[in-house]
Amino acid sequence: MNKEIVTTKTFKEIPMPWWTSEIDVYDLIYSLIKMTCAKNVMEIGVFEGYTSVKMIEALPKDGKFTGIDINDYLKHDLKSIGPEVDFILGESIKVMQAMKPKQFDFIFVDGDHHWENILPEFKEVVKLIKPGGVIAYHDTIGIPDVKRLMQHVSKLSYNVISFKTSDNRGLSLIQKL
Amino acid sequence: MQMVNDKPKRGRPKKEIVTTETFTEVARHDWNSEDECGLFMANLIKMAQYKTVLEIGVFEGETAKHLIQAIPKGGQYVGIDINDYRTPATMLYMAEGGKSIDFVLGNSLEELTKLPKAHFDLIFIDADHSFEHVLQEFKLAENLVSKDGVIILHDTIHLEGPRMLVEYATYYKYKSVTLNTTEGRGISILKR
Repeated sequence: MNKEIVTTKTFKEIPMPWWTSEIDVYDLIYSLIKMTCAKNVMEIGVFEGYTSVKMIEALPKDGKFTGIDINDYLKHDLKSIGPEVDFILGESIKVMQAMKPKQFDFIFVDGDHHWENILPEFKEVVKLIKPGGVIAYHDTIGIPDVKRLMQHVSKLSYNVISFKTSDNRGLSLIQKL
Repeated sequence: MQMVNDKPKRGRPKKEIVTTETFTEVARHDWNSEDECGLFMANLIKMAQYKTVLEIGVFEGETAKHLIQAIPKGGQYVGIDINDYRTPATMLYMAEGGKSIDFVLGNSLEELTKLPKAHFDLIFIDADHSFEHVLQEFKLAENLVSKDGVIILHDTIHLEGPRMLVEYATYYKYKSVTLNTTEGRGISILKR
């Protein structure tokens, strides 16, 4: 079955093999969820679900994973792993506006990479993170708009620490001051 | 006649243990960092392609094993401790070929002054936990961390000394992210 694919401007600009994160990024996220004992986690931009699988595997049995994507590109059966999975099809900003605030221990953002979308999206993301929780952004070195977002929020009341990744696309951890 | 009690005990020879004030305050079984903490740093080293790692406070070497395993061939690990508590398993890891691995026995405040400047990609501080000591260590570590490198402190949630250090460092020029750890002790990543 062919899935109808909705694309935004940036989706076309970024080659599709790039939509999947590097293996070392999944591994870091996996060990971050394990170490912090995060129970309620969310991913924006699920794509084929490689990172999602790692995130769900890192959760305790009573943990919960929420994934948002504008399309269903899933290649993995996320619900078969164990913890509760909520996959939401839709635009991340609208979906998040309907969610209960301060509920997530960890949020991984790797959806649209266009400035016009990621700035309002960030405003929704920070409403949903618990105090002391951590947000991770992918492509914070390789994609200019995401890099700009990191520079922008680090001037606000957020701590941003950026790391190189194997493809030099970058991963940043963000925490409210 | 030799008393029964004088017979040498089996296992590792007893070493003279130097303690500082805080060493006696923190229960000894708590000296090892959580395993998940070592795994997280190992994955961070691999992802960020860090090559040079410095650990202050090695103890038995549970974290050192993860750090050494994560650095690439040609990478460097330096561990400092005031005592040598390393287990035979740690010794084996430290003998791994193709990587430069050094264990330095001594007081970190003296030994840190002998290391190359702006050199280490990751510095893990988990030694004496009094604020005064951590502050001095941190000031020395600042000179040793590479341009894109990070300083990571352990016990920044449940112990006052490291926690105050993070507040202090964040106040003047560092970005910090504090993460919970399995036993609730916490680590903080600091970057300029």
